[in-house]
This record gives sequence, structure tokens and C-alpha cells, in this order.
Amino acid sequence: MSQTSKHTEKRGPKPEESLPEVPKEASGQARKAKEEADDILDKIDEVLEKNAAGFVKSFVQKGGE
Amino acid sequence: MTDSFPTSGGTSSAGGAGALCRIAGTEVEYGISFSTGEIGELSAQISHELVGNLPADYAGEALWDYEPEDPFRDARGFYAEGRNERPERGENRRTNRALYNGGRLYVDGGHPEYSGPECRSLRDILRFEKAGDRLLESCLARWEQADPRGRSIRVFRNNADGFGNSWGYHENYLVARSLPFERIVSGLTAHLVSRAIFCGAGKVVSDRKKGRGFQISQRAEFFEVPVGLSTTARRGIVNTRDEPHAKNDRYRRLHVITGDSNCSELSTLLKVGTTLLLLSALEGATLQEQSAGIPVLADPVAAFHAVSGDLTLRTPLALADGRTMSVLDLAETIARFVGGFFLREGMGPEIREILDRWESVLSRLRTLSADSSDPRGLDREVDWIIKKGLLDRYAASREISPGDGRLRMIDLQYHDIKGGRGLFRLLEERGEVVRLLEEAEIGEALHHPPADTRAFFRGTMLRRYPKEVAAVSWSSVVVDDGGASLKRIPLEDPCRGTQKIAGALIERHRTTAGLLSELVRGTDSHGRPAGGPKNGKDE
Repeated sequence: MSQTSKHTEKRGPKPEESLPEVPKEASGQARKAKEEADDILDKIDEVLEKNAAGFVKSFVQKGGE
Repeated sequence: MTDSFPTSGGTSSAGGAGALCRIAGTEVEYGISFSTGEIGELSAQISHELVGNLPADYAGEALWDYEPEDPFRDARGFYAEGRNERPERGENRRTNRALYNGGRLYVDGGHPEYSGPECRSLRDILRFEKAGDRLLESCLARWEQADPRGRSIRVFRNNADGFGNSWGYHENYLVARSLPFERIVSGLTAHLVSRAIFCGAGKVVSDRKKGRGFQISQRAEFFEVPVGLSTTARRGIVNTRDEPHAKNDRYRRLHVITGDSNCSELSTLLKVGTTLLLLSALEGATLQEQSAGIPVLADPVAAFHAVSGDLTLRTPLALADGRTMSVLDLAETIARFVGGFFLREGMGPEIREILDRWESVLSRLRTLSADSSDPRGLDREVDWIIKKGLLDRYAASREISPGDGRLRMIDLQYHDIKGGRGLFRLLEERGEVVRLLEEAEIGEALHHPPADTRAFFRGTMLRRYPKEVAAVSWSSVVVDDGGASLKRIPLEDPCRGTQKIAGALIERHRTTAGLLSELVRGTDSHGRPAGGPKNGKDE
């Protein structure tokens, strides 16, 4: 913990690469994102438990902590 | 996230004589079921079988040491009479795996549970927590391969079943005993309530009908009192368990049970990071500073339930002084208190990163609160927002009604730990959520303990002397060196037993007899001071 340094001045600019970018509003990008989103929905259909309705009714956990 | 947590108060005297050791660790309880969703009375048995299927790469034969520590005194075996609460050898072995990574995989009630090792950096917290999922995943694969009936099992890192049953995610923070417990209660409660907006895992249905529809927090509904000891009934927002697993006069281990099992690394980072920084600030601040900076809720339980059910983040919460405040205002006030404290006290890059991310997430939540269609990237970072976005898109695209079982299934399967099936893991693979960890550093955490806490000593001893280490606990390593009795090495200082201190010592002894004799002698055969995990001294 000896690396902890003393800063009395105001915090400097944020390390930009470490903070995620806010998505741009460009319509091309938005359309691309939409297509990718639809793609993930298809993927969900592929892997989602086939007996979803039965599964969620049966999923009861006891005990713990 | 390269440097360590702040020591007491985050001051520049860190590391000097008397500096406190800042340690945190997390525990994940897993929900399990067969592929039908059922598990019933078999949950304990299947949990034991899963733990029993842990590959030998990750743990040897050592037991868990349930005894309290007793420094350097011979232990006459650790199954002494009159200690009925201690499991006998067979049950101990069936229930526990003492991991080479310094953590523990075990069965708690009817659930598999993983306790990560003690960590000194957030990066370690994140990667060791994720290592637990990977361990369970390998148990699962072996169990399924061996099952004569060809059954398949699901393992979920979530906290509620939709029928009013909850299982936990617990955080542990070592805090200074000198900080009065009442100040922890008054200083931490509002944070445990409000942090749900950036670290709630979300769920589609209320378990206890406290709120209708989507809940931000999986756990909030299950809390009934402001302060309490129990983790299973009448849960308290601030838990009073006082078992430091360390020097009792110096440390308290604050056991936080309100958190959700996050999948998003960003949510985990904020959940643990902000809480850790707040605790440091409480230790460093005066009572007057705390009272001026941290609002106190009039009814924390009602507020927790309200926060969880309010997706607008605007519901007014009553404060003890008669004012009201929205959850966003509350969270921003707490962040300002902590940020101000570290501006005055100084900070390293890890603290700065937490503060920056905290501020960034709160400011984007502010935007989301004004316009729910503008998540500003939070749908790649915060679990409940990621999950909600996925559910909304799915429901709209498939034109299904709110009660459709597929929506609850998406909610559950978001938390399925298995690669290729878990929906969060799917999002991760496709780059649709923000990742902080590299797969390689998670892989490393399956095999090796953190280097900078006593977990290093525990995990390395287990691997180096598989036949001689009989048992371990958080604060002990029990060895059978061939003498008349077992010997317990105490690990009461969580910041000793590090690679720096004990690495060479373990390396140069092929047997524990040699290692013990050097520890007792205090010097090695060359007259150098021994680097064992003695207590009461600082590095």
C-alpha cells in the first residue's frame, strides 16, 4: 500500500480509455446495433431452455446462507 | 486497478508501523437444478456430489479446520470431544475443498458455495470471484459425464427463485475495530440501500409481492430489519456477525449480505469498490464529518424495497431529519462524501478509477432517470439494465406477453455459469458487455492464490505439501510433520504470509518439519531472519 500517493490538487482528467464510450447517435451505427441485437435474440432462442414455462415453475430452492 | 486498497483512512502513512491491513473477499452461493428446473430434496446431495467432482488440479485432500486458532500450540487432533458442531472427518471431507487458490469450495445448506481468498486489490476480487464459477463449471462437466442416468444440471449465480426463497452473495471487509459499530450502521446503511441502482442484478418478478413486476435488486425484498444477525430469516441490512478471522482487538470483519450476485464485472467492481472506499472514509472521518456528509434514512427497510421497485429512480425516500431525497440524490451525496475525503487524503490509481467510474455511472443513471430510452452505455455495464434491455428487446421482437415463461427463463439463464448456455456469458463472448478481465488472469486464479495476503501461505502450503497439510482455515494451517501431534500455524494477520514474506521459506523446505523448525527458530540455517507468518508485526 506504499504506492498510495498524496494528491492535494484537483483530480486530473479521466483516463479516457478506461471509461466506456457513450454510444454515438449516428443512424448507421444504430442500425448495425439493431441488427446485432436481433442476432443475439436468435441466439437466445437457440440456447434457451426448451421447457421454459415448466422450468420456471419447478425452480424452487431451499436452504442456503 | 494496479495498486492496492487504501489502508486506514487512505493516508500516505500506509504500510508503516501500525498500518491496518485492508482486505476484502467475496462469497457466492449457487442455485442448482436439473434440466427440468426441479431439484427438491436432492439439492444437498447433488451439491455434495458437485463439490466431490472438483478436479484434483485445484485441491488436494486437506480438510477444513473448524477449530479456533491457538498460536503455535500443539493441537491434539482437531476432532476433540465436546465439540459436536464440528463435522467428523468423512463429513468434513464431503463438504469441503480447501483450494490451491487460497479459497474454499463447500456445501452450505443445500447449495454449493465458493468463498474467494482474501484479496488486496479489486482486480483480484473480480478474477477470484470469477474463478469460482469456472471451478463449479468443471465440477458440473465431470458430474454429468459420470452420471449413469445421463442427467444434466444447471448452476446459477443468482439469489432468488421467484417463490420467496433467497440465497446469498456475501462481501467481507476487514475494518478497524476502532470504528464503532454504530458509526458503521449510520454511515453504511444508506449506501447499501442506494448502491442497488448500479449493482442490482435485476429480476422480472417480485418474490414477496412487495413490488409489482421488475425489481432492480434480487435481494432487497428479503430484508426485514435495519440491523440483524441472521442471514436466513429476519435479515438485517447491516449484519452484526463479528467473527474477524484475524486479531480480534484490531479488526472487525464486516459481513455484508445485501448484495446481488452480479454477472457484470463493472457492477461487481462498483459494488465492492464503492463500499470499500466508503468504509475507509468512515474510518478516516470524524463523527461530525460523517454526520454532515452521509444522510440517514428514516426507514431503511422500506427504502430498500422502494428503491428496488422504482425503475425511474425518482421515488422520494424519507430521511431521519424529516427531509426526503431520491435514490439518485442519495447515491450522489454519498459519492461526494467519499470523493471529497480522498481528494483531501490522497489516492492511488485504483481509488481514482473507482471514483471516476462511480461518478460516471451515477451521471448516466441521472440521464436514464429522465429518459428511460437513453441508457448511455449502461446497458453494457450494469446488470439490471443489461438484463432489462435484453428482456424488453426479446418481448417486443417475439411479441410475447409479460407472463410468458420465456421471460423468467431469460432472467434465470442470464445467471447460468456454463459457457455456451449462460446468457451473460453469451453477451460476454460477443463483446456486448464491458469486460475488465482477461480470460488468462481468471485461469491463473484457478490455480494460484493472491500473492499479497495470507491466502498465499494457505494456498501454497496446500500445493507444496499435499501429504502433510491436514487442514486449513482462514486463520490457520494445520500440519502433520510426522511428530506426535498435529501442529497449527496461526495466520492471524491477513496481510502476512505473503509471497514476499513466505515465498522463499516455503520454496526452500521440502518438508513441513523443516519449515516449522525454521519458523520456531526465527532464523534459517544461514542465520537470516525467517519470513514466516508471525503475528503482531508489520511488514
